[in-house]
Amino acid sequence: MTNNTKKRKHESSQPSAADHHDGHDGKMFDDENIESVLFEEMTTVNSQLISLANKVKLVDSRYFVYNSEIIDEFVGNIYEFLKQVDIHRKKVSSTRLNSDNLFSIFQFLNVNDLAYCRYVSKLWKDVVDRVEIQVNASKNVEFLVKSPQIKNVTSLKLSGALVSSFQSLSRKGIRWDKLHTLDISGNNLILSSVKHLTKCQMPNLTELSLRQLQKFKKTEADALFGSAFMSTVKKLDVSYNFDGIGSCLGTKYLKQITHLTSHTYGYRGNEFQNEVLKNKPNLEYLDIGNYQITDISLSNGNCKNLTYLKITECSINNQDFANLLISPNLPNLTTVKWVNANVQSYRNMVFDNTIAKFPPNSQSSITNLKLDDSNLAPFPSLIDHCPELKQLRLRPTKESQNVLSNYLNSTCLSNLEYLSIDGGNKELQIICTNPILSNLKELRFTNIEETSIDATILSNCTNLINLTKLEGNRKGKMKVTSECLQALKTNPTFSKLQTKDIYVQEETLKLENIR
Amino acid sequence: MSETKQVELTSKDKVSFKVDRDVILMSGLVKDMLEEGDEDETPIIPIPNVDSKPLQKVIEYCQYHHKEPAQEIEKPLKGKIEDVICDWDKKFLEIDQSLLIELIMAANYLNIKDLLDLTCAKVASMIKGKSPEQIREMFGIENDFTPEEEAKIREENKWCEEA
Repeated sequence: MTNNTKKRKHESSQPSAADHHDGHDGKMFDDENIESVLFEEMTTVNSQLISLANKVKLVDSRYFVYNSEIIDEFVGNIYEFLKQVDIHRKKVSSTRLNSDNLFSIFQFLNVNDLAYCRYVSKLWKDVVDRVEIQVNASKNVEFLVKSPQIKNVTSLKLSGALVSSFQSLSRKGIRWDKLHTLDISGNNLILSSVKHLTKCQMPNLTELSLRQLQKFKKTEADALFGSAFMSTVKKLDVSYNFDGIGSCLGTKYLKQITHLTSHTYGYRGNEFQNEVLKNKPNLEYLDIGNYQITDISLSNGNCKNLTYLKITECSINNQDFANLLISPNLPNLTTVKWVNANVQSYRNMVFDNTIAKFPPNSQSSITNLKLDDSNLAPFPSLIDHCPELKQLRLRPTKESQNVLSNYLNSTCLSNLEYLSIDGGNKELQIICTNPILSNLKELRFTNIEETSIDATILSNCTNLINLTKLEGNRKGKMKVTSECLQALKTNPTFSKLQTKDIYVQEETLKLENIR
Repeated sequence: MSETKQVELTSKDKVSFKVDRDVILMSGLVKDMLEEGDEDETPIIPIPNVDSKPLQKVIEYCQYHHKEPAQEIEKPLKGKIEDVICDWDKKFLEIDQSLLIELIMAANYLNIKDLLDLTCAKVASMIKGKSPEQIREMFGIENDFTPEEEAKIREENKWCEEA
């Protein structure tokens, strides 16, 4: 009974609920009317409530014992009003969260959160089932293949996979249409698993990671790489597998490969097998590690499209390396990274100290060269053959530190924009005076005592007019003496330099004040 | 008089805002509209889909971020959104839920990607770790599934629900 009265009272305060709902999209005349009526009414009731509250303070407390009904109804009506406001506010949220907005929101949720969102409502479930997802799966892959979300998996990383897991992936009727990245590194990949894998419907797979597979030997590798399953893969990582894996990589199904990564465990004198490079006309990116490279077929015209080459902890004949840099058969090679090369401390590595010869006038197309922890002594004239250099990083071994002055005095560095160097004031002196370096934008000194930098070199510098960034051992902040900072701030050569992250250590400041 | 060119935006409820041209160019929509029209005087651009309250917030956002570009927010979010955004953005997001959702609409309509990302990531962060019932409660959504349909979802979800 009371309930009914309440409802009627509540409804009578609004002309018609139906009118209101009709005008829910574009504003209608009636709506604006309702809004102003509502506003006026609320203002009136508001002031009445304040006056009521003041009167309540004045009456005798027994008044409410005898009149509890009116109080209950009063409280009930206020509660109903609040409830309606709350429902209405939430309705604004739910109606406004359309499928476009939900789609944008769901990009930020992981698969577990999305699982809950699928229960919320039909709209939410439909949107979740359109969101692309990246999945890390183990044994649950058997359930994954039963989910409608499977068609939106773009990246799948599998761990602890059994033969049955690979069987699930390849079940009849299951298509991985959006999958472009598959990582099965670290799993057991026995022949029956390979057979299931090669039956998978993954028409857009472009990236495959096969690092450190267990029980994966020549038979398994031949079955996998000799399968048309591989024929869409462009980026392949086969690192840390059995020694002879290279000889399995020459198949016609790997012809389209653009990126190849292959490292072995530590340097053990494993020969780099040239079959790896066979049939790879599209290869752009090659990252190899811990091989002994004797006759590298890179420069014999097989890899005309190669742009990026990274050689880590490999033993390679100095003259071969030099030939590679200037090879006319590598016309697109722009980035070369040579790490831990030709270093005596490496066990078993052949230590070659013969000076590499570059034919006069030979020129390399390299723009980005990184020589890390390598013995550079056999390459005194290397930089003179790299006139295109834009980025250069030099970290020679201690024994070959002297080569730096040769490099920095080269007349070929006129395009250089970024230089990272292991050196001290001696090298800084050359950098700050060689006029050819006027295009340098970023300079980074690694392995330098920052506070030992000689300020006079900086204050006398006139060539580095384009320098915007100067960094020390760590990226970001640099600690220098106050003389240095002064030189950087007052020398007009450094007018483009950002000095906000170069600062003076407080202790040095204090010391100077005392003096 | 001032050297910086200005633009006048008119909200759905007919409130006008004068904004520096450089600032509001963060909006892909406004940028496109300005490229079409001639550039003399102060162009008036109606924003018929956005109320003054969210529009005011949008302008506030652009005024700050046109000089300090926002950092990309990770997808998916690993933790709470507050862990990955700057202090200014944290303060900016201290608003009630209905305004937050109005802002998503506005960012979407005006085509301001960073603001859309920020507001969507905030809502995502609110959803994270909540049960379906709590989510429905939060946004006033009705459960329109039959028990059979719910059972089917449970079956489909088996692969990714934590045990």
